[in-house]
Amino acid sequence: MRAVSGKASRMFSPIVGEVSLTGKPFYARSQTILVSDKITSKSLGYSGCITKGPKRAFFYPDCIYEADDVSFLQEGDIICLDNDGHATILWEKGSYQNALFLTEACNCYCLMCPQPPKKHDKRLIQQAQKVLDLIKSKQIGHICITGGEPTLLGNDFLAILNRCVSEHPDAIIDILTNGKTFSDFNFTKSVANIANKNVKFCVSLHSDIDTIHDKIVGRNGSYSKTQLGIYNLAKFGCHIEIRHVITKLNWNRLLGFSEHLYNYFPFCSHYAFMGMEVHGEASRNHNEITIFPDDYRENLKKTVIFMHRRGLPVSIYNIPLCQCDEQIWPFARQSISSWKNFYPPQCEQCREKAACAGFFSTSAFLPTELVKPI
Amino acid sequence: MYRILPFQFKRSARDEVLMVNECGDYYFLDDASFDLFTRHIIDENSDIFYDLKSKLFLAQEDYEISLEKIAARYRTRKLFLREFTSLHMLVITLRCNQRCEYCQVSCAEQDAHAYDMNEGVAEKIVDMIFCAPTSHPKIEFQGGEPLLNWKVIERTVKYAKSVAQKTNKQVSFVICTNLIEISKEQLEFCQEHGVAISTSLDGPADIHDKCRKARIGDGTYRKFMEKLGLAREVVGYDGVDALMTTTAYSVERLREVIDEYVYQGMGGIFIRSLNPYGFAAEQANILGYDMRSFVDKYLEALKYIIQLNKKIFFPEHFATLLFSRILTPFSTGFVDLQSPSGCGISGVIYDFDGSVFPSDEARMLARMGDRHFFLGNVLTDSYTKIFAGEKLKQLTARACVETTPSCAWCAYQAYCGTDPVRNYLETGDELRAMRGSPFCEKHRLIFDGLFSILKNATDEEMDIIWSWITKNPDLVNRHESC
Repeated sequence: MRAVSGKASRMFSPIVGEVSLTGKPFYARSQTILVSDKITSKSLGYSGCITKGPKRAFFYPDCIYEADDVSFLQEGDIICLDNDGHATILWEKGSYQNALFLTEACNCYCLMCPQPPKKHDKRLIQQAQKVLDLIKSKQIGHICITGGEPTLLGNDFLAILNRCVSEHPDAIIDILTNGKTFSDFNFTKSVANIANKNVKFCVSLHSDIDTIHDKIVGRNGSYSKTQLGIYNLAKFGCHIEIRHVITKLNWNRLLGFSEHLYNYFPFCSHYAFMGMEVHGEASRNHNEITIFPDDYRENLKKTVIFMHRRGLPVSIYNIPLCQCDEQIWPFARQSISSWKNFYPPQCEQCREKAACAGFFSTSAFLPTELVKPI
Repeated sequence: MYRILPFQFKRSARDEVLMVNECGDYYFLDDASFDLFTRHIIDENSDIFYDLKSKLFLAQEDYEISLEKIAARYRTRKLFLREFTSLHMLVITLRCNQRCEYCQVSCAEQDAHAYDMNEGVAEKIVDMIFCAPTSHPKIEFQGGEPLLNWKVIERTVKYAKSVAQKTNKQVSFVICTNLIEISKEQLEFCQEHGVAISTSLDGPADIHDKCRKARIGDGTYRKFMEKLGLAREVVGYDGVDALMTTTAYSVERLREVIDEYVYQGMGGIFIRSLNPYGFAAEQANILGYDMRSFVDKYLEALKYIIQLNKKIFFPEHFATLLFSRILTPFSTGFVDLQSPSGCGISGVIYDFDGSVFPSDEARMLARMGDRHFFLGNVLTDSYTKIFAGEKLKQLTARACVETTPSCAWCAYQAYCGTDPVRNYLETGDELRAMRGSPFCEKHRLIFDGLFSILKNATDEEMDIIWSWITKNPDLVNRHESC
């Protein structure tokens, strides 16, 4: 997530509020963070401030001062000020890619995880609740619930999902999950009771072979639990999306994997084949897992055609157009979050750039020598 | 170590084994690997091992979830059972204005009014139809020529619609007619009430006229074409569908039959073999052929149709059905070929006098003098007695390929079905060893042919096959318009 760096005025608790660049009347300042060149008497009453200028006396609001770059902050963004001097955007106004990040804990340890699991920090739940408070009466089109593995939080997860569904009944809600928790039938039942037709469970499934999937996700027995979870979700009529990250460990079974999906999981509402972000664990395990789309070009083409012939809704995420066959371009989506989306200089000459997913700026290794402007 | 999951298999001539698992997933394996696999010593890191695991021919630690998956797909394939009973055929009259050479019904003279269904019986039948659990009953008017008793059709459609509204069900209608005496008013009624028309066209004029003859006089092709035009004017091209019956006259000329269907703008074709009932049984030596030569010609015709589809979208419906069973995990209802057999539980027929039979063939058998399959009469028996009675239960229990000798270990078991009425006709028993029966011969040889097509299909041909299964003409890039 994009962040501002500066210095914290003191050891304050995290402050979540809505960005204002122009200022608000005094009565409306308690949930607002003012972004201004310097701290003045006009800064009083806000829950926090961000400034490029210096720190002021103790009776001014807590702040991040001497901040590096505040230009990307917009009126209405929701941010969190931390006492380590960072201000992180939690909810970008007008963006379709906002997520409630509920936990860093996970019951898998994926070789390609861009953000390796850590112990659960309860403050993330409070932070998500606070974001929900701030967007409560707003028109929200899309909410992503993610982690870590958000379903591990049990009742906290149910409470957040319940708020999302009841406060934003028209919003599309995507839950990113490894699906293992749903192997518990009763848990699935309580989630399904809350979920409405706009809730989609995006379940990661990385192989049709148990041993390969379990190796990728770093925990034995995951494959069985995930697939049982998918069946449980299906029993309650939940919308399910299968997300498949293509790595060096599974690329040569792409076609077998899609046959398996069609034969045993044909009821899902969407199937996504995803290029990898070489970040976090993925960067550490680079040699073991990294493969570039150009290397599985033929397999991906066959797979997508296989799915399309059968009338299954299929998408390709995170793969630049020049790295996949023209026949399957109609299935490639611009899937990379705008803040980490990157196009190498060669792309300037490409006439398909506007339709292309591009690359992850966060990836430690970019196959830029393979970029072939179209 | 790994466990082998249940499957059926068949060795082909070319040192190759076709394996089909319990829920219909298939895989081709070379003889040597098959041997290693069954002896539990195949390399556990090989592609073949992974394929066999992915297709649920074997399992290791994932044993339980593998069984879950097989069960889920098995349930899905048998989903047609939930639509108990969806197809209801009514013999509106046994009278007919034609006297076709192969008539399975042994139709009656045009003035034999004793063979008409009356409105009272028709209403009783409709009441019974709506007792069935299915939410989408389909009512098919048959004969004889049902149009000869038109007022009962009108009454039945209107009455069924009113009952459907009360019971909150979706009812649909089909009239099986030779079209010869259809009037504009009748067509307008069909248009207004959404009654589909199913008719018969055997091929070009000389083939059609060879069997489909008027009661007094000659062939009916010219008259048929005239009425087909009229029907399409009123109900549109989609409102009229045609079926053909292959006889000794046409089995060598299927290509011409297909060309005629294309020329007449039909949306596809169903190449059907002859049924050994009624007049067809009496004339088997003239009209009939052995199954092997039918299947040879059928497969030839199918290949011709596949080539044709490079230009136009034109499915062969029987192949579409069987390809769906081989290639998809879904349920396909087809009364004549399913397990348990569709008799009574998927389709049922009500004779003009209210007698209920589990299939058209069972009724024909009764007409030939044997009322063995008579389930009851709507005038005297309750729904429960007819549809939940011992007779239909016994019939169904004895009509599952899973427990039929030779079907039980046939590689095509997951895709096939059985016909207890046909078995009874041929052997005096609903349950028989199927191997060697014409029914088995036909389907086994067709499956052999279809798997060989699948094995050798180009990408374009696979697109064509999938365009039939998914009814999506856009899957194929046509080379020229026709």
